Amino acid sequence: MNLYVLDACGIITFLRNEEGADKFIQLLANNNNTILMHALTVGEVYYDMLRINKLKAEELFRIIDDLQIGIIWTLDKELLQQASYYKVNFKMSYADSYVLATAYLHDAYIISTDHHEFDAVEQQTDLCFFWLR
Amino acid sequence: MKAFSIRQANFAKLFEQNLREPVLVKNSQGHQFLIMPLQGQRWQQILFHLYQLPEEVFEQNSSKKRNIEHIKTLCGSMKDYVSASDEFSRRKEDEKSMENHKWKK
Repeated sequence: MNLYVLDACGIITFLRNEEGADKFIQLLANNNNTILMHALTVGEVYYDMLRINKLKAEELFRIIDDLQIGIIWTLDKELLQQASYYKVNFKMSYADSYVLATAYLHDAYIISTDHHEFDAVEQQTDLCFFWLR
Repeated sequence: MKAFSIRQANFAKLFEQNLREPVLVKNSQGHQFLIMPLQGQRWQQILFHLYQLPEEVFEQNSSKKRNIEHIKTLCGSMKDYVSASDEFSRRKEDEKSMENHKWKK
């Protein structure tokens, strides 16, 4: 079983059918791939959609369910400490520090398109990235 | 071996009865759990009961296959209802700049 953690840019790539969405669909086609999102990441995208259209924002949860992406709703001390470590040592958004911490704790790949945010992390840590573009 | 779904099972009563045999319980997500009796079981008996469990108990829950044709129809369905990923990335850069500024103060 291969574990992946999806960031906000990753799921938006799919939701908007941006360049790289086909790579994400290929990942989904393999049922051995388990894809996770932390609730904070879901919240980032939901908030953005809510500003545009309330009804459509509610569809986000149905789509995540249809894609069989597991949402991690919990936030414990270990996750908080690991996220804070990334936040302090790499300049990044709060939500993205939880993407990295979730991947670290689950020994998972990170699915993203956000090179601005994560290139330095990829170069300086053992975390593995699956770039959609 | 008895099997219960979580809605049917009254767990308090089950444990009060101090059953001598394992009970297979299915939760609301369809996952199955084997509840072993507290006492009176030898490991040979436990293995015997485990051996009799249906195969799906040991399979990963990923055995539920994704419907790729349906997923393809969802791809791009929110194009007008969420910001572009590049815009998201740019906003994060702004967030970082603001934070840098805040700490410098």
